[in-house]
Amino acid sequence: MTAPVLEARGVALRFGGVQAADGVDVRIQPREFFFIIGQNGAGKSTFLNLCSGYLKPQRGEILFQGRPITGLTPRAITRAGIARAFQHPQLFGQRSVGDNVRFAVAAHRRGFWRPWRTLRAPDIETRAAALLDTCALTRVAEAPAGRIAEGERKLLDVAMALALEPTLLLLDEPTSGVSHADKDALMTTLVQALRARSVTGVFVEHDMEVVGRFADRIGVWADGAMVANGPPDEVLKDPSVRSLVL
Amino acid sequence: MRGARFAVGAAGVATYALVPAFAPSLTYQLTVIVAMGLAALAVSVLLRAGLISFGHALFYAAGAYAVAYFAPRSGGDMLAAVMMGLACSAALAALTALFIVRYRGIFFAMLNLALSMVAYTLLLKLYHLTGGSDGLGVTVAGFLGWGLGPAAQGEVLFYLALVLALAAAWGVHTYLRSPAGWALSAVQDCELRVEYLGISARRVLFVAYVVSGALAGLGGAMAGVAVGHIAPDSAYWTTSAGFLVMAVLGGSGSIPGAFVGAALYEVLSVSAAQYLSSTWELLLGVIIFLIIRFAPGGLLGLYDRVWQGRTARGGQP
Repeated sequence: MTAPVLEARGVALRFGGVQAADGVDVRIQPREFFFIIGQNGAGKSTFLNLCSGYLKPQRGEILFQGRPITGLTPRAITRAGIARAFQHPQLFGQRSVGDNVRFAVAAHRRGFWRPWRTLRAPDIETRAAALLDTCALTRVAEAPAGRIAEGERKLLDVAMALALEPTLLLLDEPTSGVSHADKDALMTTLVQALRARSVTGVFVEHDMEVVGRFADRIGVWADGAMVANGPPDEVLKDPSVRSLVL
Repeated sequence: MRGARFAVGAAGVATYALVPAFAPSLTYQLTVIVAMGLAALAVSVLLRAGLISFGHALFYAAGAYAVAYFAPRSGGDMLAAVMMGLACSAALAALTALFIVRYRGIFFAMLNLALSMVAYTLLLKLYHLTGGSDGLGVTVAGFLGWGLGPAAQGEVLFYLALVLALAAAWGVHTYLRSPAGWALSAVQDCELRVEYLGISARRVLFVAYVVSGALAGLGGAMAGVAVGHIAPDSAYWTTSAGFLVMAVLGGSGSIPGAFVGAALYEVLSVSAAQYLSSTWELLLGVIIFLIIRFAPGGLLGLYDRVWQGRTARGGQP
């Protein structure tokens, strides 16, 4: 069995009277698409927040490629190779889509602090153009990021995360706010982009059609803990899971 | 439009450079305007990140006091003294930035104000070091080894101010085009994403704050040499507010706008003192209101709008 990319061991976090993470144990394999499902308040986003350094666990340990990342800052975790896309895309809304991606590329490359380097440097332009193409954003590259459609905003968020050349990408509800008709195209584009780069994906998702189609493995969350996990066919047909989630 | 702006800027610089030949009485005033323009530029750099400083007079005063203190001890060379002013204010800014970049919004503005007022009081009370309310004389004697008389000194300082201001404007332009400069508006727009791109927002602001403090100190050093005297008032909060007003008048965040704003501010203050005594604040208030209401991009923004309008109508711009 290959070593997991991400491993949580007994991770726990309590907010006042709410147990947001209750001894979560999970192992995510390389290049796996792991989908987390569960009702609202089950602790799905909290788990992503713990893995990305936004929250610090009170107990337990999180390992990335065998190295502990528990309690590290978001910046340090990003530098280690874990990128994140948000439920509400975190973009530079006043700037163009292209500039958003160029800045993300520059952030990952050497020379970010050199005053003579610009976002229009050839290596940045080339890489940004490729990412815009991969994420089907070339058409809106000159539009302000705050004025594009929600599906495009989600893809831009992912493009910026991919600019960091991550090993693992955490995606919080990538299809929320996207019309039913556009979900499939968005997920296809997104999954192709991740597969092409051998990026492991951890998705929080509510749409069971999307989960059933794109997941390699599903983890079911309830009351801050993972209560079931396995292949989609197995998990989604489990009556106890269906009663819990559907 | 960029080409037209450059042409207008070049014409302005050329006109400025010819002033000592045709209107020598203006050299002092223009040197002071350039010095204040540098301080306004300092404030403008932070405005890019949405940060308002009500205390940049601290660095302006630091630059001027450093010149007053070091010039007599270093042979009185003008350039060395001005550079010492810049270095001291940059060092002070770096020290201050270590904790001030943790704060945003009103806390950032008020902390800057608080620090400058502490400095103001110290300058008043530490009489043996600072001359108290009398301040210190700023005397320079030469430039790169050449001795200068008082008249030549003013002229040399005038051109030194021009060269340093152009160098500062180019440096800030280069910095703002770089990823670290671009990150200033990114921090204002979405600091969380900046961190999740692996970039330290605090480091971004630290660099900006040191650049800003150095610019304000350079302005203060040149103003100190031009006036020949420095007093604690230069660290008072109204001086900081003046720099902010200059930046807004010219066009907040704009490099040439800082100098245009400083020129307008100085012309208004001198004119008001001559022709409209006791109504300076009223006049300034009305102009700030008009700028914010009708030209939020400042005078430079207004110029751009007029230029674009003429171009859009198909007329020869």
